[in-house]
Parts: sequence; C-alpha cells; structure tokens
Amino acid sequence: MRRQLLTRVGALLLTAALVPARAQPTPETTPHQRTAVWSADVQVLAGVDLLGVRESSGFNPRNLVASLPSRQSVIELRPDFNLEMGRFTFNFGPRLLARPEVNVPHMPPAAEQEFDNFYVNRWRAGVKLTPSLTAAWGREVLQGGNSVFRSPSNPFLTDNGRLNPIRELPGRDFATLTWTPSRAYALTFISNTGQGHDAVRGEPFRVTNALKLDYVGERFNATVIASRKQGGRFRLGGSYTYSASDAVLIYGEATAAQGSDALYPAAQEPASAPQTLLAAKDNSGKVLFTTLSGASYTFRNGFVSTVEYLYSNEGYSGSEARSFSSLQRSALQVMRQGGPAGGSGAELLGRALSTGLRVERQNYLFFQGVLAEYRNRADFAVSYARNLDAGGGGSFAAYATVSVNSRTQFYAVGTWNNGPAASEFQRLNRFTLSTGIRLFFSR
Amino acid sequence: MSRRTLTALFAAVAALLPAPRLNATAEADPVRILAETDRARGGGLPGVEWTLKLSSVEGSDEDVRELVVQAHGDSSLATTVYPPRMKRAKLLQVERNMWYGRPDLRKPISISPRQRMSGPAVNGDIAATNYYGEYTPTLLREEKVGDEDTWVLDLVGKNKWVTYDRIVYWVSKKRLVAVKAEFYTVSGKLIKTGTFEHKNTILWNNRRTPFVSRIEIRDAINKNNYSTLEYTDVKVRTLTPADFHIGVLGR
Repeated sequence: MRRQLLTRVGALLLTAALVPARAQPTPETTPHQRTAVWSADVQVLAGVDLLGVRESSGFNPRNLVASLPSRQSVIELRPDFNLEMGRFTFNFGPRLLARPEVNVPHMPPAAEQEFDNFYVNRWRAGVKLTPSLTAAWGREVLQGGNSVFRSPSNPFLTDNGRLNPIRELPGRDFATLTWTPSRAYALTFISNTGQGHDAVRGEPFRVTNALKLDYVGERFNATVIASRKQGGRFRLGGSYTYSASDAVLIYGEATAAQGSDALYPAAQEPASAPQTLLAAKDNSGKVLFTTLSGASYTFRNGFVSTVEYLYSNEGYSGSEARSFSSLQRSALQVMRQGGPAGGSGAELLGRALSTGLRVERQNYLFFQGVLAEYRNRADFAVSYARNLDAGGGGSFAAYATVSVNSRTQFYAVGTWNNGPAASEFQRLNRFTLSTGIRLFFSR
Repeated sequence: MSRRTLTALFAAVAALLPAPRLNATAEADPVRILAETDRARGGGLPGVEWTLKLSSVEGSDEDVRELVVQAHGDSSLATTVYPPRMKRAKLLQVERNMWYGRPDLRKPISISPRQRMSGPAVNGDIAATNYYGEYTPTLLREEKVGDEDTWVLDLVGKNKWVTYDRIVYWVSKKRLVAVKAEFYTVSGKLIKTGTFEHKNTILWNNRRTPFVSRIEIRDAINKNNYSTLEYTDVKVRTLTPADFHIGVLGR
C-alpha cells in the first residue's frame, strides 16, 4: 500500500514536470519570470539540560523504567536549505545532535544508549501543478489550530511545541495535495506515509489519511479534518478562530471518534489476576471526544494573555483513575520483588507512562502570558496548566529568549510541577531547565 | 468606408486604449482619488512583491529588519530575511485574519491586529494598503505641502477592524500619491504621523505609475520613536490564493 502511494506521488510529480503551468491571464501586468532562488540557514545550539528526576517515583523507581538523563550537555547543528525553481520548491533540513556529557542515574550497564546522532528532520519537494493545485511530499511538522496547551484537532500529533520554542518537534513523512480554488476555501488531502524521525520503539507504524477543508472569512477562519488510520477508526476534528476585536481572539478545537486506541486499566482472566492496561475501548460504540475553548487578549504594549479550558471524556474518569493508581502500586510491588516476575512489573509501568491518551484526565485549565519582541530583542512567556479533577496536579512553564545581536541569542526554558507525587505532571520529574546559546547564520 | 464601419472602428480602438487616469484638473472625487493612492502602495493590483527594509528607533533602541512582502487583493505575506535569527518568520494576512509563523514557534499562531511589528509600525503598515475598501473619504480642503498642491482627505474607518480609526490624508494633485498623513483614534487623539516618498515605478495597465519608496511613521506622543519603511525591488507578478494559504507559514 505504501509502495503504491509512493509510486502514485512520484508519477504525479513527474507529470507536473511535463505539464506547463497555466498562469492566470493578467494582460495588464508584466509577469515576473522567477529564476532559481536558493537560501541556506544554519542554527547552532549549545546548552545544558537539567531534569529533576524523582528517585522515589512510583512509575519510574530509581529511574529504572524511563532511564531519563538528569543532566546533559547538548550541541546541535540545524542547517536548512531551500531552493525555489519556478513551480518547484525544495527544502532540506538535516540535523546533527551531539551530547558530550550525559548523566543517567542508575542507567542499566547493559542498556544501549544513543547519545549522538545524525538525522533528517525536514525535507520537502513541492510543485505547483496549476495556480490552484499544489502537491508536496516530504518530512515536516504539520500543525493547525490556535491553541497553546494541546492541539486536539490534529490527528497526527498533539504536542504543538508552543510551550518550548527551543526544542524541535520530530518531523513525520507526509504527502499532500492542496486545491485552493479561492481565497476563502482550500481542500487538502494528507497522507502520513511514514513516522519519520518520530519513531516510537515497538509500535508498528500505520498510514493515516486525512481530508482537510479550510475556510477563511472576513475575521473568522475554520478547519474541518476527517482522518482514518489504516485499519483504525474514523476521526473527525476541527478548529476555528474568531477575531472579536482588534485585541480579542476567541478560538476552539475538537476531535471525536467512536472508541479509542488508548490503554485503560482493565481486569484480566482469572479474576484473581491483577489488573493490566488494555485498549479496552477499542470496540466501544461510544463517541469519545476532546474539546478545547480558548481566548486571548492583546494589551497595547503587546503583552498577550491567554486562557484555555480543555475537556476530554476520553481521559480517565474518577473510577478509572483510582484503578490506574491501584494498578501502578501493584506493578511497583511486583517490580521490587525482582526476579523473572519483576520484569513484568517494569513493563507494565512503562506502558502506564505511555497510554496513548491526549490528556490523562478530563478537565484542564490553562493560562499563559507572553511578551514577544520586547524592545525588539527578547521574548518572555509564563504559563500554568492545572488538572481540575480530584488528585490532579499542575505544571508551571516559562521561557525567555534574549538576542544580543542579529545572530546571537541566549535562551532559558523551564518547568516546575506540583501536585500529588503520582499525578500526571509530577510522576517523573519535579522540574526541568534548559539553558544555552543559539547562533544563526544565513545566506 | 461607411459611417457604421467607422463608428465600429473607433469603438474598437477606444476599447484597446488604457483607461484614462484621473484628471487632476477635473472635479475631485475623493473615492477615485483614494483608489489611485492605494495602487501606489500595493492595493488593487493582481499581485505585487517588494523588498522592505524596516528600521525602527524607540528611545535608545534601534532595530532593523528586512522582509519580502507579497500582496494580492486583501491578502499579504511578509517573510523576514534579516536578521538571521528571525529568518523565515512570516506574517500572513487574509482579510482581518492574521497569522504569525516562526521556525522556532513550530506552530503558526493567530494574532490580533494590535500586535506590533516593530517600533511605531504595526502589522497593518507593512501590508498592501486598502484604504479604498476600508475607509469612507471626504474632501476637507486643498493645501500646499512644500511646493506641491494637495487634496486633504478625511478618511473614516468603515468598521472597528481598521488599523486606524481615522486618517487625515494629503494627496498630491499632480501625482495622485499620498504625501503625508495623520493617524487618529476613534476619540480623536492623534497617535502617529506619516510622510511618503514615491521614487519607485511599476508597469500597470500599460503605463508607468509611481509606487511608494519610503514611508516614515512617527509616534505623535513620543516624537523620538519612529519607523522608516524603505521599498525596493518592486515587481508586479502573478499571485494566486494558494500563495496565501496558511500552509505556507510552516515552510
């Protein structure tokens, strides 16, 4: 199936090269014939990451499950090359990541750790088949919607990276075909053909196809996206943004599907066996959805304040959360026993850290304040996310970037978590801090 | 040759001639005057691209940016090319909708029109002008600016979404381009002043027409704060709605 799709996209691109583009008739203007234009940008990043790994974590006891680094130094090279040739555009973004110093508390001696690597996080080949039809294939991070906390309408990823502008999100492989018949409407077919650099060990990749409709009105824009993972369920998502005034934006995002791929605490046979994590709602006929409502206000000095509320009935209810906690305690006990059975306890704790849920519980409130381009050289942001359900915790996040000249920028990004030790935000680390310098070069 | 044939021939030739420009000595129509001035700032064209150098001074802080701006109707896309740390940052505007994309932001975000670009210049200043669609003009008086005769127009915003609630606009009678402007809030408070130069030209409708080359926008309260917009490399080119789709912000 994947080979078929790749063959079709390749044939499409080859056909485009042979079909002359038909320009819109503009007899009253002088058309500008664009020659090849290329550019190259290089970003060099050097910094230190600190992670307050919790030794007493019930999900990651003595860091033996997640093997998180408590401290690492990072040097990263991020070149980006771009070429425009008439109707064609090409982008290429390889990455070189080196970690000269990594400290992983209690790292298993036999464990394989990859500290340095070279990978391609971004590449793209695009062609304008006609003035209103564009085809592209490559590796990129496809985003949409205006929310900060989470992006529920995005069927490909939920982390939108807005809380940490320094970290790059891993690119995925996409083929897209976009038809823009007018300024108001655009229709895009998207196929997530590969996991790209976002590979999750142990999980087989499945192609996801989506159809996205964009509408742009005078001060309102909206997107509806229908998607389906290969062999999986149909999902419907959407987002909108409304400019209520020159200072106020109101927006929302949502996603819904029948059933869920996520893991839930479930009983297993025999009845005396401990609970485990299963895709218990995989065949459920119930519609499970996540909605986010938000608003932002821009003050005259440029400061932007944002508030968002997220509700998800896909997240654990109160009883499911209690079962989940009980399951975690049992798995921890089994792991501490050691021996052959201890491994199953560690495996279950590992799955508990990656249930596939967009958010673990059901009710969240989020605040953010951002001052961008302060004195044309600095960005500051602070935010707080709070799980409103019983036993929930919260997370403060902040970042600052300060540019000392056109090419040099210092940065600091951090989080500080609060709440019960086993809560969603607290269970692995109490804080994170990344600080360093970025250098920018371009042609 | 019969009279009928001659009439048809004259009509055919007349149809091929470019539309006559507003006659400066004819009765001043503020609506037509405004439409002409928009063209000199990118409005009303099927597609235009220019390089913009934006220099801002606020107190002791100076900031210089370079952008490539593409405009088509009420859509515009401004791509930052300097400084290097902001390269490929993009501002997309379609009607009242505005998005900002920066490589390190990862995700394009909707922004409100109140967000500032740099110094006294706001996002609405760097895009193509559509005063014809956004303001109701009336002719206040005639006045001399330097040695140039001008019409003074009073522009009142048609809705609350305009960048400035009211503009007093001095337009050269001879060249039909803006010479200077005063920008007011709805309460009548003067917030900025602007001066314009038009040393660029573009080929439009089979004739060379002037195009803006420099704008200076100064804060009316703190006169030491000002932004200078310098336009170079102006080209009329074919642009389509696909060039202003939100997908372009991620590249």
